[in-house]
Amino acid sequence: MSGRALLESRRVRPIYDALDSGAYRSAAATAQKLLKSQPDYPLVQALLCVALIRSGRASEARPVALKVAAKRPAEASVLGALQMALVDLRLFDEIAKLYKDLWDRSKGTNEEFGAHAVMGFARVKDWKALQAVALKMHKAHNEGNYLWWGIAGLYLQAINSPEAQRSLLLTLPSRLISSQPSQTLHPERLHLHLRILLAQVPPDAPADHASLTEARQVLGKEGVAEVVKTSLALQEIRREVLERAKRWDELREDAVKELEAGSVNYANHLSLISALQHLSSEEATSSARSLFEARVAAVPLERGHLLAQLELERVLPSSPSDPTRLHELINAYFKAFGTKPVCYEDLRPYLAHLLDAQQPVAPILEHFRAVFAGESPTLQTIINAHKLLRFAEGVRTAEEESEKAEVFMKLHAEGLPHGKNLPETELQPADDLAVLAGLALISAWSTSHDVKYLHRALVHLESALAQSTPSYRLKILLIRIYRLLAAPSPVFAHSGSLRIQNIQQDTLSHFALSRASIFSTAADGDHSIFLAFPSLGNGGIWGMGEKENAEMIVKAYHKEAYSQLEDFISFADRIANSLQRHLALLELRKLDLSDGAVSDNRDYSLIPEWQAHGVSVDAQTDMGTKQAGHWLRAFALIYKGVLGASLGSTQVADNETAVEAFKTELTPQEAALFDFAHVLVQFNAATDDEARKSTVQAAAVFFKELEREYENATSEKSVALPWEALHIAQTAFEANALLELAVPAPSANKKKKGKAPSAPLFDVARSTLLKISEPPATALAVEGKFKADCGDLNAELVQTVGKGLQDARRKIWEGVKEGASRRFGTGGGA
Amino acid sequence: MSILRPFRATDLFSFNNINLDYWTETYSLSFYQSYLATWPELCVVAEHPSSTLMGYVIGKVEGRGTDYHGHVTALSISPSHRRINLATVLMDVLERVSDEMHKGWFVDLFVRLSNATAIGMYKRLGYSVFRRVVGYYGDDEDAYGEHAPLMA
Repeated sequence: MSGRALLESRRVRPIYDALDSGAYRSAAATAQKLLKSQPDYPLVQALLCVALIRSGRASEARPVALKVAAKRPAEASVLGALQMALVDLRLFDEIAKLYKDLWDRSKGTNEEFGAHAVMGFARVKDWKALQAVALKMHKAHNEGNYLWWGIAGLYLQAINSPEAQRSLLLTLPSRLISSQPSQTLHPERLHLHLRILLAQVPPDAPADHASLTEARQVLGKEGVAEVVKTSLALQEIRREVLERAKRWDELREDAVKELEAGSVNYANHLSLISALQHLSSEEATSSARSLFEARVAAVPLERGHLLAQLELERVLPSSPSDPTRLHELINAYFKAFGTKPVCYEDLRPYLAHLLDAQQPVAPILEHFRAVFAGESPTLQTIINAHKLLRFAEGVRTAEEESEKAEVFMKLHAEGLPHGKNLPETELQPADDLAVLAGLALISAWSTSHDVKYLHRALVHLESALAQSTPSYRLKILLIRIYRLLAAPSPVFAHSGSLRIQNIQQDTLSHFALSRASIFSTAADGDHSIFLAFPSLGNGGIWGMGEKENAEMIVKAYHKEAYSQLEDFISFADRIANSLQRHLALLELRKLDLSDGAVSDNRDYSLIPEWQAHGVSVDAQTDMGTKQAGHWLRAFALIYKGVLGASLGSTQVADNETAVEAFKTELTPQEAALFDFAHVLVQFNAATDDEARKSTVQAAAVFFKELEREYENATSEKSVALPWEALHIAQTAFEANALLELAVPAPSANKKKKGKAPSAPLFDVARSTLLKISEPPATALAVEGKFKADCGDLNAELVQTVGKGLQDARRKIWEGVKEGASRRFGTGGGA
Repeated sequence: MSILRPFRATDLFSFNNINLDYWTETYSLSFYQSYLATWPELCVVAEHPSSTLMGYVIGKVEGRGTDYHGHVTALSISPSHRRINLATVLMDVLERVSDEMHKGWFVDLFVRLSNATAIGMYKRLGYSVFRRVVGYYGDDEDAYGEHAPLMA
């Protein structure tokens, strides 16, 4: 190393060391000290940016980073640090521009700058700029991967362009590929080649479209078949090509060949069945039936072959309108695989098919019932039989469901010993019986509106969970029921125990967080409920995801994983536009709302949907309506309107058509709140007393209606659930908050106050809130009723669960009362 | 059986029934996407005809010379889809790709000492312990290193 370089290395080494060891403040301080004597030192400036960002001072780093970038430094060490800073600052465009300029200045000779420019454009999805650089690089250096970077860029540019331009834009990459001396056998490049050809085929294209023919020719070229054989991705796209080209015989022959060779990939079975549907050949269908039968005989432990028989019989029945053969196959399947957990999921569609076609199912149900009378049926077989019967036997009365629940719990108790030697980390084989008991009681409540069934469900589910602590199904049902019963502490305890990590924030946080604001104690407005998801305040998975996803698109591009690109981009978009992100953050009262499309990534599939055909547990246990895009827009409008009013805007939005669209996703109270927000804006916009008077009247009606609903919901005879009363109270609080935001408060001076036009608004809000925030007797007297409802169950557990429910409920209502009391003073003036 | 297809980034929205399992970690987005970007052919999903995900395997290839081999980073089957040979099928795909596409010499993996279920399964698949790695896992638990040869 030269003397100069050695000196420089000595000066900056401490900064690197400090960054490496996480001492970011120290790194920043050292860098700043160095810059005092040498203010124009790009490397140290770049390192300073990194240190500032990592110590939470990104806003200070930003101007420095932009300044360094503007100088277009070409040294590797500077660029390394600068890129790190720009990525952390999400200044992705700057990175792309920086390297593009450096590459231009090198007159396209510096491959490293060029490659970075390509990756920079990949990061921001500027495919047009990307392919231009890549193809120039290919021309200059003739490297295979530059060409394919360019081809991929052209493809992505084409598919993201308006339809009219797409075809033209796709001809260039096609030509680039076909002008190559030989067919690529690189699996990713081959996959991309086929995708480009498929993209040129319009949806209604004939089977002999030129691109389809070309795709088939590519698949037939020397060496390609061997590559396809080892690649599931290529096998998938090959099937797609043949399907688009309507080569049903070829698809059929391929599938038969694979199955005869022992393939267990169900994609082959499905491909064969699909081909048969299009061929409409009795001979071919009959031959397939024989093939499946032979495979069943040869490999009886492989359920795919039996499933394929079922599927074939469903879509191409041996005797139309005669379900006998389907019955035989269902029974055969149950006999062979009734001991497997997957049995219910496998057979359910075929039962549904029979039920929907109103064909008889009795012979099959008899077969399932026979299990209970059989000799030592396995626990799983009993469970499967019960699940299938539950699905097919139709809806029961509340009493029947309640009795069924006790049967399930008895079986659960009998089944527990099967898992007594299992470690605590394993699920209990008997779990599903407790889940079934819970579901039966949910149905009993849903039919009768008698909350005792939900109380009993809690006891049974908590009891089962104590024996099987990892069971997510039990936890999710408990979460759903506790929410309905307005008991947030156990909700968050159970959702916390799910150990939701990373992406699951997006897909699973909704179980605990949807409408969670009704559980935040109005006393301190703290959002302690969100302690279950601590990183939400920092942007959560969505904040981190933005950077990670961008880097991964770059990585996939760099590694030529072309088969992944579109999916990576789709994934990144779905995270960025996540509905749950907006819902969760709105629940936290942040208003970073985009008006763009949102992607609903919420996973509801974990709810065990094992009720009768046509009955949804999700629908039964939802707390109000499902919040989605319309809900988001409605609340965005509420807050934008009110905030606008608070800033003096008198713009009154037309909301009539909007409410109609939103109604499906708003509870009645939320819809009323929406109108109330509109009233507030109108109040501010009113120019005369008459107009103001009418809006005050409308507001008074809103609050009086809330009072009436509250009284109804909390009366002794009410069948409303506890969360509903809380929701009414929360709506009143929210309305009051909106009022305080939108309308200037009347003067504190009693003489002046009485004359202020807004005084009646505040008076009625206060009066309603003080009434509604009184904990209802029905809410507080839970423990006694709980004990009475569950008197025959385990006394200790009933005591624990009942007390837990009571305490949680009391805590929430006390918080509500305290919140009102703090806001308005106890019984005194505002 | 099940539909075997490449693991896609968007599968991360649907794998909760597999991942809400004591032994299965849900890693960062970049963890999964790094594997998909580098070894997409070694990341495979088993999908039920109803579109539910049943299980997945995530792997890579590494090493040089006669040490060039496939590695199982993660193999997980949803509890509702166990005891139907899925793990064997997924391992088979990974082994075949390691062998036929990459010409690897063997496949190896790490498994927690306390994960008796997984250890038993790998034994049935022909894997044997060749070393113990102290403190391999983030919580300091030791791991068995296990391997099985491929037909080269």
